[in-house]
Amino acid sequence: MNADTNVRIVFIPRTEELPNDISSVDPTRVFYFPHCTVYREFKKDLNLIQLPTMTLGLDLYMCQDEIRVVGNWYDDHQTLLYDGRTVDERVRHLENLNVTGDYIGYFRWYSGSDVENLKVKVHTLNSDIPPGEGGAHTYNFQFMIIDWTVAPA
Amino acid sequence: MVTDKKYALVAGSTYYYFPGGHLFRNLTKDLLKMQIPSFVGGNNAWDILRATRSFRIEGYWQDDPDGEYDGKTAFRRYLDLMRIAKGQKGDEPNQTYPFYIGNESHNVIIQDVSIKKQSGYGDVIDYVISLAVVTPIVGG
Repeated sequence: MNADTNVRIVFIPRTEELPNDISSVDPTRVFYFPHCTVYREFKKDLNLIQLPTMTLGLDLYMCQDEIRVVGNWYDDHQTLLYDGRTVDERVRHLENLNVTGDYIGYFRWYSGSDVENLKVKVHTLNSDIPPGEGGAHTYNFQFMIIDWTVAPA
Repeated sequence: MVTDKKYALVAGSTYYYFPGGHLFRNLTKDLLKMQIPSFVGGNNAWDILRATRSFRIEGYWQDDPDGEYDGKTAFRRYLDLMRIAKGQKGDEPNQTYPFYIGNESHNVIIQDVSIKKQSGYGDVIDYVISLAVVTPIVGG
């Protein structure tokens, strides 16, 4: 089975820059989302105000931009395709990194020859880890986009 | 692939087609009736200050390797549209674009973009795009 590394997030302390070589990053801060589904939600709180004189006004104050990743994680401590972690370890690392605001996430999404790079902050982490060993562990993670003009890594 | 160039959003020289997309139209007035107390005349009045008009397109994009529309992958088209919706560096992010429905055109602002795609290389992106219409109402 080939590894699917199309969707990835690397968390970097907010005082540092993303290094060119990802292998130099602490592996507990790198997360892959194989075979996931990505949702992008961009929403302007936009109201058109039309005065009786036909003058138009626009309320452009608020804007929301989020990306949501939904899928299943599996243990990787035996297959070693991605990070060599169990799902429990992976979820715990992701939560611990994001309890404080000390880290910025660098989201990378490949599709064919194109790539999207975004700086994100964690908005919501939801995961369902069933009891016992193995099996699919579903997740639904929501990230707020804070910068979409990120140079490719 | 559905072949349908009925709906198109135009940004510069780039046409974004929505083949097979469902078009929803919406006009909402923030309409209030106000009645002046009878001791000062008792007249009725209408508050018609705010009106919102929008189009919403729902459908899915596929890759276009044959160049029937734009020759782009669905993912490339999504990336380009987001650059317009959010505004490129130095550009006005909220400028208006012509949106064609057949021969009819409206000036619109991209209001909402929602997409869904599987992570890897695939040729289908579901989209829901809302466009706020800023064309003045003729004769309104």
